[in-house]
Amino acid sequence: MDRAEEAQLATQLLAREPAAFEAFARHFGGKIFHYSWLMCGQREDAEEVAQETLMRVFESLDQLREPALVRPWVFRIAKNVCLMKRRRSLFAPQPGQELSLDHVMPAKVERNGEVRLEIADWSQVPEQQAISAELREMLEGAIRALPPNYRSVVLLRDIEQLSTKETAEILDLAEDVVKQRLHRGRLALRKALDGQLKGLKHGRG
Amino acid sequence: MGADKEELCRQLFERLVTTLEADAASSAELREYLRDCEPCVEFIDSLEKTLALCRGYEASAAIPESIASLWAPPSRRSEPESL
Repeated sequence: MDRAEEAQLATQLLAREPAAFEAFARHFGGKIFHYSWLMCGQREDAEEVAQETLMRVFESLDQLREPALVRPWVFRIAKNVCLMKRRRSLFAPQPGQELSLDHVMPAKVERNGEVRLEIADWSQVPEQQAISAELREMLEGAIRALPPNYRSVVLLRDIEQLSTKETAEILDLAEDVVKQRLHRGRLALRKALDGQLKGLKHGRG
Repeated sequence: MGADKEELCRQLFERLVTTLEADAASSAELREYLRDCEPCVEFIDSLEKTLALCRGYEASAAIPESIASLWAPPSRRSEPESL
């Protein structure tokens, strides 16, 4: 469902059309569940976050001024619920970890006296078509391995494809901070996947 | 690769992330410009594929029925089995 269809669904919801409630719960419930699952790491927590978020969404429906902005509006609520859940959880967030450029850049290797940047063989990664289950699991693992302050930005910008402005508003950050975390987060994700691709190649001999 | 060139590549890589976000055309222009820098081309490829993976991501976990059926009509809602 694209954002225009989401806006249409939100309009139906605001008109209290009965069928819209179930469609909304299925679509956004799934999105919030996966976002929370990648943020919290625990399936049970993610399920609770999704249910609680949907309850709050339906309770505060009158506060949705623009149906076109339903996706960022729902994710702002989900972020707050997720944050509260994580504060109460054993997996409470640690103080924000910063990623330095050295952390996220390709490693240097020396061969025959020549220094090179080590990059795996990415030819096995498709450019467009649907990704394999193996690659999807690798991506999920790499996303979970990101520090939470970078992970939340990558999830909202690159997975949910919200704008920089919308992401900044959801996370209460300046747009420049969102851009910086997105850039570093992408580099870290690339490096994590690069490492896993090397392991995949070695594992298969 | 000399130390200066390597440092230049590393600085360039971070700037590339911003450019790649802008549009595919500038990415193609950059690739053309940088075609003689093998690690740069490999890096751009891997970064573009990382973004493509994220944008094409479809979650592996099924949505729990407890969420999917939250606002379903009562007859289709999942209820705990009674003893």
